[in-house]
Amino acid sequence: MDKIHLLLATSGGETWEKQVCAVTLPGALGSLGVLAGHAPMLCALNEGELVCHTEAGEITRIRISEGIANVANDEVTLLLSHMSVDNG
Amino acid sequence: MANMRAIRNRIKSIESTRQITRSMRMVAASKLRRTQERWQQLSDFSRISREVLQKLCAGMDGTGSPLLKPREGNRLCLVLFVGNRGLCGAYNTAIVKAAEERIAAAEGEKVSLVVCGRWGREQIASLGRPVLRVFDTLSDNPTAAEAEEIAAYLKNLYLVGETDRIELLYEHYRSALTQEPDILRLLPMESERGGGKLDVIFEPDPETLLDRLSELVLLNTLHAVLLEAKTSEHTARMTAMSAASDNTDELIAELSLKLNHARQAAITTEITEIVGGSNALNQK
Repeated sequence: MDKIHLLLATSGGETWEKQVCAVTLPGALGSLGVLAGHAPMLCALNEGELVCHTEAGEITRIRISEGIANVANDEVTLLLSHMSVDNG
Repeated sequence: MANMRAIRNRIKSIESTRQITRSMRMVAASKLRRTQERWQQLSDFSRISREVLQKLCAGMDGTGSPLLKPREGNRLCLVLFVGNRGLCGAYNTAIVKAAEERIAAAEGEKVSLVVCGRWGREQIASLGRPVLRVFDTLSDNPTAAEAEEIAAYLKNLYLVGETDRIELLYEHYRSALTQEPDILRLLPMESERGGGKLDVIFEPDPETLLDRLSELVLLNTLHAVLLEAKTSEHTARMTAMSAASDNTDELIAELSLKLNHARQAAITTEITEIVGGSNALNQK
């Protein structure tokens, strides 16, 4: 399965990154799923929960603040003010 | 004898000073490492946000975020980043001097000040400009929350129309040996407009995205400047304390020499007196 590189960066310098198969974002217009090969997109994000799935079936949930997501070339980059990772 | 005691006391007191300056140097070095590390961590966000901002501005066809729109007015708010205390060489005075120069250059502009740091209320008051607010509880390793508080205040100041331009005056960290005052325009933000429209989906629209991004960039810029100013301050304090420790070493060496001279003179006098006394006894 094709992978996407997910990178989260906060304005305070925190970063988190992982190779994932799919990611669900809390978009400003509703929940939004991104898979490999997605068209280039800039998307406003609401405060909420991001869920990402890895190839091994591992699921990571991350609480994020408002921000924006940049999707291009199988890379999803999120610019945020805060985030808190919850592995489980 | 009294002279020797005075020299010994002086050496003792200088040794205590040396202990203090050495400790201060070590504390500054440790704070410097932490602050510099955190400052460098911000670079990823800065780089990515610049790229995205460029992409967004290429997709815009007119009005942008109010934080990017230039204004005609002549009110300038100068944000001074000074330290929380002295003992850091010319760090603080260089900022006040640069502020004087900036105010002199801003002819016809109404300049107001915002101060980040506890140092020098009197020196800043002597600039003769109204101080809108002093952030005097900033830590030595500023956190994102502290940057958020200042960013929110400055953004509000700009959006309610209290000022038409906000500039940050801080000590730019060139290297461990060189730090010099620099001015960065915070608001309105500078962006590269124009360029070809990119084939990108904007959700919901470029304006909303630009609003969100400009707020994040504002926060990141302010945090980066806070950390850079603190990095410069810790470096300046480390250099100043290092120089002070070297000076105490020199002073102690000089005084030790004086002490040895005085002791030698006392011994010589004593010997002369003994020899003189013994000669007098022999002559009898």
